[in-house]
Amino acid sequence: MMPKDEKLDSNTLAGEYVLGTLEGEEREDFKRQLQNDIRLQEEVDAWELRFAPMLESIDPVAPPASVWEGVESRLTPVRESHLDESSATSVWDSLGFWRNLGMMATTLVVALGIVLMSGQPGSEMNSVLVVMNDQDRTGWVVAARPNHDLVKVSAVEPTQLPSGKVCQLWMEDQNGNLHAVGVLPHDGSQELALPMMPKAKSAFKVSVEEMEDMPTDKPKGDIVFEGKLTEI
Amino acid sequence: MENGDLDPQQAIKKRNEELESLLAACALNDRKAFARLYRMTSAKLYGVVLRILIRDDLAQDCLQDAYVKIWNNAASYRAYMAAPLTWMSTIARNQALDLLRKRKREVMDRDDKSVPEQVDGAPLPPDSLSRSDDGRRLEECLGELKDQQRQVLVLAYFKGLTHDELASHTDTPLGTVKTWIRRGLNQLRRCLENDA
Repeated sequence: MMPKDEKLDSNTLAGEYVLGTLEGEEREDFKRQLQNDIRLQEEVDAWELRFAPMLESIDPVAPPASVWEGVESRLTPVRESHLDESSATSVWDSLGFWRNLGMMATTLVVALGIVLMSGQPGSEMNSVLVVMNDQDRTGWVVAARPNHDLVKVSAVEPTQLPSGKVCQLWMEDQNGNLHAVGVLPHDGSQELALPMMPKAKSAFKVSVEEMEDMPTDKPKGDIVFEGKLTEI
Repeated sequence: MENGDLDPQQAIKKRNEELESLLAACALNDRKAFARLYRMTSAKLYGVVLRILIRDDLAQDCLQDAYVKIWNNAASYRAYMAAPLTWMSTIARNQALDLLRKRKREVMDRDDKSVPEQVDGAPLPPDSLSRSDDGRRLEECLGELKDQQRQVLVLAYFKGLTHDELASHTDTPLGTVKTWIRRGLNQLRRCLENDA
């Protein structure tokens, strides 16, 4: 028996992509899709990790010295962006998405400024999440206090969205499940209640959703950002 | 010798910590750190690409490419996502499979006919993956698949075989091979998720 209706969901496609059996045009299509779809990237990441133990069992073989000489002659100073453009479709190179973790000092200064300005004197806000906008600049700053289930979200340079769309903030629990927090404001700042107590490195995601039809259980639109709280 | 040897778990942890800090240093342009990273990992990665590409010359070119890529992307390595050697080995494998695909395309273009399916005789890795907890889990879950499903998944993973090549290698209709792969993937994922 050979069922023709075997479901070809994105997860299976991601598995075939990692396995290498996704070929030709299908592979190219998938790669294109992968560039803009962080959820798909995560599925590919997960498949890479599932299969990776197979590589552990391979015995090491010392390469000839000429290989290192070749490598050394090809090294160029690491670029600011760090991302190898030619290979941005491969997940293992597309991790630049997690930008909040590689936060530059300047961003952190901006974040600190925002927190200090917006907080009351002696504010105990001591963790921030810098949400980058579509230009890779600080879009919003989310300030949290461990063991307080309220965060203060301040707009810095929010992403300009088409009318009817909003950026929705999600908080990830220990099992990787997302819980809705609220909408990132277009301007000013706002307090949002968290679905659970934040921890030192709680992870958050941002999705773009229809204002009229915002999901409550899980994101419907594309995930455009993810990051973790950083202590300041 | 009773106390001289580090507990293997401890040794792995220590090595991973060192590799993580070397990658972090590479992201800051530290070539010395990269040289040490290469010394610590190149035999492992060469083993990986050699297993896939078989030919020494191809494997050596590929290993160079993989390390240049690791250097260029060191800043995007995230320790919480994967152990350093897992991340690097995966880059090496992907580089090797990309090279295989490129070579197949070139042969196809040259001959204007389908490339003869070649499956080298090199052995697949030993059945035992159990060098780590993840390895043991994967091994258990692969063990729950039907033999043919497991065979096509492992062949594809290590040899970069396409659907057509797998069909011809296993002497099975194309549709059946596709079904084996999809079902195998789904079942494997379910098994690994339940176990986690």
